[in-house]
Amino acid sequence: MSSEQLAYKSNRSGRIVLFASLAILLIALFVLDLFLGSVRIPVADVFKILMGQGDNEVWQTIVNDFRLPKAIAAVLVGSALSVSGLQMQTVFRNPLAGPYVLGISSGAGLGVAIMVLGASALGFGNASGMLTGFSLVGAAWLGALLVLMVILAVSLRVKDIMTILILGMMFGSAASALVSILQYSGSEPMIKAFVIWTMGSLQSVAGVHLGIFSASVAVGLLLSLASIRILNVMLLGESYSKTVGLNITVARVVIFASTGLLAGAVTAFCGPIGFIGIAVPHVARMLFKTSSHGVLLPGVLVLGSAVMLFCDIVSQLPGLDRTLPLNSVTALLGIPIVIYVVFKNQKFAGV
Amino acid sequence: MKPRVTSIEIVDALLGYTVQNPIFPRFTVEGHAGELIAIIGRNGVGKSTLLRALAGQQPLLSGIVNIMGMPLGELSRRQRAKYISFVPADPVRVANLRVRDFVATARFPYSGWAGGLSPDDWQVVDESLTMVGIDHIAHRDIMTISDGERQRAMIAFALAQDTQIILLDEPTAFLDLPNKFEVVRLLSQLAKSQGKTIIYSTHDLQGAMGEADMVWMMLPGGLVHGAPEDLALNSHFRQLLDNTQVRFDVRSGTFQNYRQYHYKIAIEGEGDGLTWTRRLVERLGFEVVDAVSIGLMVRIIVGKEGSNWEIVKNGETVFTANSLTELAKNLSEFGRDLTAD
Repeated sequence: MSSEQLAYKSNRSGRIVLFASLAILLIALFVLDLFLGSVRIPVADVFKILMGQGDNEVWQTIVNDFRLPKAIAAVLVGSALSVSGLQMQTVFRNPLAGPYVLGISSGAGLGVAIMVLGASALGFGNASGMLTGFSLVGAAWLGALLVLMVILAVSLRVKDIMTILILGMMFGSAASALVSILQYSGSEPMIKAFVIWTMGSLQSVAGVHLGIFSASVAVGLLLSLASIRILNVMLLGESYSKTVGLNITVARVVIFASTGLLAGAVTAFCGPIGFIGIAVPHVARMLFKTSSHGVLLPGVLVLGSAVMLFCDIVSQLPGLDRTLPLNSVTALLGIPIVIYVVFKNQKFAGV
Repeated sequence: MKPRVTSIEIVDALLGYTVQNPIFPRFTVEGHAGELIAIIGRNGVGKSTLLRALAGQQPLLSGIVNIMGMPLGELSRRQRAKYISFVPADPVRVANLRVRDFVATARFPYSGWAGGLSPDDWQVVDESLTMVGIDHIAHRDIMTISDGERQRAMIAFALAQDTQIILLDEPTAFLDLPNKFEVVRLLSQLAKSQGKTIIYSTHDLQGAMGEADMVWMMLPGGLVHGAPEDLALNSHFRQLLDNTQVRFDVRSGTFQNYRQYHYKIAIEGEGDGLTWTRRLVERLGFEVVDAVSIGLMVRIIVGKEGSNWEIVKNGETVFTANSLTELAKNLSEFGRDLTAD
């Protein structure tokens, strides 16, 4: 056996160790996320409550109705954003692509802005109840799906991937411009409500919302898992995709649909959470030292969940009564990674 | 002798984007199993367009391409991917991509969207790597191997795709001289040993003349095809160089800059010394003539310590040089004194 093959074998077992450690880290962070919060609940009691044997009703409510759904939401958000970011970086063969390059989150933002700010501008009063209800999620979903439909329609006709990328960015900018107009004419409390939505939050995903959210993410992830081989082909670029007989249009539609579901669901339920989707795939490539999506996809799934749980823990400022906006935490954590990647890949050798 | 299998037929093909303005005249040509075919032509004549049309990636304006007797247009994407592979000109640049994983992607037409690779698929992949001689770097990152190795990996990709026809767009463009020769040699061997039809576009005329079985020469007037030696003998290489400052020397089979001679000179000597002395004086603007009646002559004297060159003017030795460098320096001074008679 040559040294090359030996290196390969050790690489393979190293990969299994890596997956196992990431899984353990994920579980540890999940449990830690349940323990931490503004109300202190002893570790033993948290376990009791999880087993269904709690005796303090307030604590039971806190754990079952707030902390557990929030931790689950963190896992779903982390995996959804990381997987859709990985897909976009591969399809566009651009290391700075992310879940939102298609303009999905801007569409959702526009939906929310019309809902929140438009309603107040038209004098429907300060119905702040809207901000947590189905109407908000519905408006965000509508906005996201609208943009997704336009992107899909365009990609059925336009062959050049750069055109699609530029169109996505333009849709995003147009939506932001409309949001600015709405903000300008909106009432102050509603503007604040909108700004808070843009900061991102895992708090509002509970009950029925969590069910819909999980279902959307599950479908998005299944589409993505079914696309592993397509992604490996698309990574090589258009010439190779054509020579091996890949139907590029169909492949793009499947992957864009998956990304739209994942990024759209996250934005609708938790707001536009940034940087996780761009940074996590790069960390996964550095850790696993491969470009194969058979490894990277499960890799970003676990890693993204762990990173999102970590961000949630940090945003709660353990030991203090205050919390930080989630988007600030993900940005401050993600930006150094993106900068590192930009400096390391100065030649930009694809992703 | 085995009957020749016609693997690709191009009938009345017209290349371009609009029928009113085709980029190349109508042509008909065919390729056979076991042949290495070089497509030669000036920049912009339509070599890449032809390759893309043969790969089924761009339709012909009119005409038919038959692959193993079947019209190319009637093959599904997947069928086409099993008959024709295409190696693009630009090198693969994907970070963290292992050579073996890259080549394994070529098995896509055989396993579909969701399925994984079978042990048989992996065997094909490994055999392809061995055939191009890069099995020892199968697990290396494709960004860390040399340009020559990367080109071989791209050829291995086409082999793993297991197609009768392999098309390559300028496979030697980024390679150094030994790699240029070796890659074309490799293609020639693969065509023979695997019975494939390998069609590649190139500007490396020397390589094509050395190894290709057939040349498809795209001249402004139309396509000329045949054995490279035929095209040389029938002055098609000369046509390729029309309106340029380069000429093809039929006798030596080499390409040279067109020269205008200002002086005449005779050379006395033989062998390699004569060849290289001749090249030197021609570069300096002297036409080499046989007649000794010319006033100026270079006499090569081969000695034990090495050669000497005597400049003889009107029968008198006026200078002795011990290297061609020294000869060049002095000859140009004598040249300046002379008039071209």
